[in-house]
Amino acid sequence: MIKKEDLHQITEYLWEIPKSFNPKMLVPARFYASQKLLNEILQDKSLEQLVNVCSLKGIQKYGLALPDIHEGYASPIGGVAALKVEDGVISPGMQGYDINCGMRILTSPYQEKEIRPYLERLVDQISRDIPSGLGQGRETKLTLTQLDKILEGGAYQLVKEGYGDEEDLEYCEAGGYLKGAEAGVVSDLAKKRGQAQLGTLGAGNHFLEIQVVNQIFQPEIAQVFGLFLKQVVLMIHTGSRGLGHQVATDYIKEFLPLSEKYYLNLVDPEFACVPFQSPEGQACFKASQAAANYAWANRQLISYYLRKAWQKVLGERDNTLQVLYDVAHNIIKLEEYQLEGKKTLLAVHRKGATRSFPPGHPEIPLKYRAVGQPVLIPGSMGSPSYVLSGTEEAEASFYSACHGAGRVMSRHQALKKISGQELKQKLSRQGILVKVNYLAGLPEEAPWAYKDINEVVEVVTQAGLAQKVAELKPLAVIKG
Amino acid sequence: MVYHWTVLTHPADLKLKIVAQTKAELFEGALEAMAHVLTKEPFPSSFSLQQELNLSSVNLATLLVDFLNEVLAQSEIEQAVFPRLQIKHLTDTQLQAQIFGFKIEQFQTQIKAVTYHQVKITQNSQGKLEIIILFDL
Repeated sequence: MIKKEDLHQITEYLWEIPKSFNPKMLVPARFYASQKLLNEILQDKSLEQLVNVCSLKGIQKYGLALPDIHEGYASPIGGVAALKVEDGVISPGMQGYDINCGMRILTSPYQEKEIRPYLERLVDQISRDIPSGLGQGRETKLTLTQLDKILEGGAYQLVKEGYGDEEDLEYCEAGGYLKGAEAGVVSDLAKKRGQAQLGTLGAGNHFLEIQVVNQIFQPEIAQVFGLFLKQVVLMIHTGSRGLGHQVATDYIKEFLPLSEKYYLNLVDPEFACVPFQSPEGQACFKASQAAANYAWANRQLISYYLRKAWQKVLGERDNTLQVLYDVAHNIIKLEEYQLEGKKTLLAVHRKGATRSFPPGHPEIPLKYRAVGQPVLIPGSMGSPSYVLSGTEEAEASFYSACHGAGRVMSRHQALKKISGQELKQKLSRQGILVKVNYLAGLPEEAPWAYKDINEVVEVVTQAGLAQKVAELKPLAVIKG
Repeated sequence: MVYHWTVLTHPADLKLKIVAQTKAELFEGALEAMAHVLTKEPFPSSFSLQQELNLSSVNLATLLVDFLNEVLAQSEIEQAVFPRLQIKHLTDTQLQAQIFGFKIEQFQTQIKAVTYHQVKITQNSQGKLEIIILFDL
């Protein structure tokens, strides 16, 4: 296990494991943490896993982790690896199985007091209209032709078919689809898994929450984002479902026998990789982008059904839910950085890390360009969520911030602490309505199974990776 | 039945240790363990679903992970659990088998994938085969 003595403290919130720590490291490892979070991080194997990230061919500057880092598989969750496109690798295990797992927030024009009387009906209607739960799909399957269009067109394809407005795409990372996606490199098995799951939440830590803006930290930025105090907003957390899981599995499996061909030494088979520019690497990138498009389409279709449910309860004319932003936290993206005086194209692998572009960045919607990209950070049921904004200083983290609180307790342990019914009642006493398909599993995602989100966000803010704009408190949680 | 499995601690996902006398029993044990994670429903005495699998991989450990991933995908597509298998041919890199399963109403746990994280098969002090597998939840 890595000990505190192995670490070099760079600033109050930034720590380094030097390259000399392990001969396999090509660059040092860096991570952001307060003293309190550091003590938690040292309890699991996340730093050992971060050291392994530093052995990936083509890695630039350092292997990086955010303050919500926790032990995962291959890379820790909350990890970032920026790999040079020219001579580096692509590693699906460094992205994770839930490709483009991410967040979307829709804002309403209403205050909490206006929505409270409708809350229970809203929750019932939403949970009827949007399947959630373990393996739950929709009754109507997409045809393979329809699915291929989604894989290549993402949320854009759905908007073209009438499932949303063009404005939705404007406020979605990448405009709701990555142009490099290719349906032909996605396996039949992955497609089969994706046919019935578009527009579904899934289970685990995925959720849909009705929230209220509880605190505003930056009034001017909040105003640009369309946020105000006591406002009701809706947060969606889900990804590419079984299709994305299968794409990742397919390419890790395909890459395993190729390490000899490309002279790559793997510290863990889960890091199976090939050169980014190789034919196999390019196919993987195209498939990965297709899965990312599926995830954006998934959140778009959920938004469509959410708006329908909203109208059913609040009146047919109430078409008032607007997308604030939609951003991935498990993804491989091509981004350009200035390295050693040269513009360098990097394949930034984010596994549990949210992109955090600064003011002025051309990939941010025009409306937000002066203030920075909205960075959407979910809490866990009883705990708050946050809206942050990207900063220039975040270049140090390859423009990445945390993606949540990060687990500290196993699901097994969490289940032993409290029953689902007790937790539901406890949350109800706090004014939080819970609708869940599998009540016994609810404690797996209890707030105490996670680090203190306030502390995690504070470290992100103090380290300059993003700034706090608003805190959101849950009113209702819909889960699988 | 000469296999058993135990749940090991992991902060986010599910880590299972499977111990068996033979390679075939290691596959049988791993399959049954995954089925118990997916559902709490008792397994029926006869199975309504049956599928053929034909897989190859770089070594026995990754072959086992590939096998579980294949079963997991079929489970999701069929909304079913497959707790039993009949092996026709097994080497360190190839598997031909039939899996047997039954439809369920709802999964108890969502497994996103069976990972290859540090996967390897070792022999314990009693001469039995052991593998630790991490499931991404």
